[in-house]
Amino acid sequence: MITYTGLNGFLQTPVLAAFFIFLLPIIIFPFVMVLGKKFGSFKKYAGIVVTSGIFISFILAYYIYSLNTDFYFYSTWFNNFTWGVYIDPLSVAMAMMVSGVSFLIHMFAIGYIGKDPNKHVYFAETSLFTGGMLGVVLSANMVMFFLFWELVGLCSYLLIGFWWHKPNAASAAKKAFIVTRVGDVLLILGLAVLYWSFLPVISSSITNDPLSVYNIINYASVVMKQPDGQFYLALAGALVLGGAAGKSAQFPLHVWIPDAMEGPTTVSALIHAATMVTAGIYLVARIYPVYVYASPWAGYLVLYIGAFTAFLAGTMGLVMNDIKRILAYSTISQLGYMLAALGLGFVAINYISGNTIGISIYHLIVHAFLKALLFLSAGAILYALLDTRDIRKMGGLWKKMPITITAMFIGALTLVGFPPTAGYFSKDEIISLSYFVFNQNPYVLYAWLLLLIGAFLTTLYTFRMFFTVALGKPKSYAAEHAKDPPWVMIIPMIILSILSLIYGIFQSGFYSYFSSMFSGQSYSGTVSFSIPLYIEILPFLLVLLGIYIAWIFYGSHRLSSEKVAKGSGSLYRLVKAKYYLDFLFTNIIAERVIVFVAIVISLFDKYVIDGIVNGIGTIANLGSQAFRKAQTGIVQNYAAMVILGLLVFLIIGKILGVF
Amino acid sequence: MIPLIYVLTISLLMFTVGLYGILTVKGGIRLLISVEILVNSANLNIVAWATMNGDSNGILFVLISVAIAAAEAAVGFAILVALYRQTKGVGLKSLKELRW
Repeated sequence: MITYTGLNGFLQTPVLAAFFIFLLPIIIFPFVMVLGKKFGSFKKYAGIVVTSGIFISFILAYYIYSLNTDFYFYSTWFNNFTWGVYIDPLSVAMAMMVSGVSFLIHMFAIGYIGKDPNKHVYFAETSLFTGGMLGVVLSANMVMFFLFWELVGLCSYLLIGFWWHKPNAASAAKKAFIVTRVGDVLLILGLAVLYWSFLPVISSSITNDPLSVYNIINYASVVMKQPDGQFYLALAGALVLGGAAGKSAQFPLHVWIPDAMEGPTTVSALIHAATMVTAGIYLVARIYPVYVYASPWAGYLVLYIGAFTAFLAGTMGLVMNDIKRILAYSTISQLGYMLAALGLGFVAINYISGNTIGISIYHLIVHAFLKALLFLSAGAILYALLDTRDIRKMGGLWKKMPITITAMFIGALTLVGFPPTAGYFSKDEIISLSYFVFNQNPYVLYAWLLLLIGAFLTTLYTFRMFFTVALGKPKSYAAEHAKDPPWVMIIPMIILSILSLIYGIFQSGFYSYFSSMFSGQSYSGTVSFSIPLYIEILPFLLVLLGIYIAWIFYGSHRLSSEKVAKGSGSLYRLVKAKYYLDFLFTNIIAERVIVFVAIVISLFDKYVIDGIVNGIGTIANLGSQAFRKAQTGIVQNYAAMVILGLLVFLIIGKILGVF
Repeated sequence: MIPLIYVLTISLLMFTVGLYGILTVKGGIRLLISVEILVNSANLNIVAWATMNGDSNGILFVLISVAIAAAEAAVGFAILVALYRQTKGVGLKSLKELRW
């Protein structure tokens, strides 16, 4: 790893290029915002300006990738904090994925958002978001990381509420902001623990910044040897995981994503499927040595939160009727797989290499492609059906809009992991890995089962959605008159379809690219394991079974899904009510506990804090009321006072013997 | 030569008269006269000491002081003229703006 520092280092071409990857979209943001507001005629170019800006970011990211060298630039910020960029396979892969997918989605948005009068605001905000997200993945310091992390949270809030005049959208934006704020508080606490545990051990490092990514990666093994070091690392890891769970919508902080679907579909594709929600996974992968060297429970926590979320979100996806919410639960579920893959690596670091990061990020990137594809095709359907989101009002669309639904079909096959799409190479790898780790470590059994059932549920809800949308007869007037969207929206879908189909061939190359991250570590090397063939094909058999069951219920309608729903009455109601988690958070925690605490604090503030402040003011006021009578306004009285004062001084001076 | 103590006594008497004047008079003109008496008591004091020490600096200093007193009297009268235009009188009771 090459290290650059200071102004001289900043002016090196690779460092400048790395900075402009995320600075460019951020610089474009105010221009588009102001020009669009000032000149109405500029609005129609806003999309093109932003899209080309992000394309330049993608070119720069590709340039960094083509250098094929890791480097670290840092410069002093304040006290012992630094700012800079940290370039390694993880950040480069993420930067290329974010800028590439963002470029395609922006291109789609030129068509999708084209008629909105505020489209310059939309493009300015998505540009700011893309810049913020690229900043998240390139930051070399956790404080800088946190600032960009909050920036993307803000953009998420603004864009969910882009149609702010809809009350649902406004409240969904607030919900997303508040729920992720819970995670962010945990993240700040985690960073504080990291700061204090790394501060004593980094004196021999090139920089004295305890929160520098470089120091976290290279000195976690030293922290472990400190007294209670493993515990503090595990504590920091668990708290940071809380922040990651907030952003990546893991249980129990997953409740905001389904509501976030009130935003424009391109926003859902960009922020709540492909990029921002993966920031949490990236965060855990970024500071992986913390978990590797921590007490084992931190790794199990990562594993089981991921696996449980993968399963839980899958069950909720089964009963939704809103096409975007189905995809939202699917996103939560797939993010659970990524987190579980990371957790498997942390739990089993002794007998498999650290390259489970590569497996997780590979699934992340495949998921970004396929979920962007699914959301874009859902967006094209909404565009054609005038914002009808209920899948029961669709039907028969394959004949009406063949290109869109074919793209959706490819996305669905990739999502369930049907060979030979990319999803087969990414998701089945995680399930096989969990079985292998379970063979060595019986505690991982439930993770394997949850992930396996999760794969089955994925197939079921995906093809339930797909068959209902694509087959049968159109069930509404809008569905009868649907047609494919314009070319500017079709081209991104085609590119993403091709990527979803063929990205599997890059699997081994991707893993070996990632394994260079671990050179010199005790757990370097590639992940290699073997499991029995019948276990290896088990996910595929479940996929076939899932497609078959979905076909019976929603394709050929040989069995009625309503009867099954009625037959399992209370269970169905439980899932349909999202396990009452929203009810628990809103009606019990928020309205009972937090409101009560807030009232007590508010009374304390009103009567004690304000009382002190007002009391001081009242005393000063009364005093001045009494003494201002001395100001008669007659000059002679003042002269008399001066003489009196002089006399007093003289007398005191005489008594003290000054003269 | 007049003994120093006589001169200083006259200076002290002038100072007391002037001080009593500025604290008690009700008219602006009288106030200015009182101020002049005060200033000149100080001048007399300085001249007396300078003469006794045979130092001409003190006498020159008093000349400057007299010039400043003249200027100050001019300013004072200007204020009184302005006051007269406002209130048709120079009574000090009418100068009450400087208060709560």
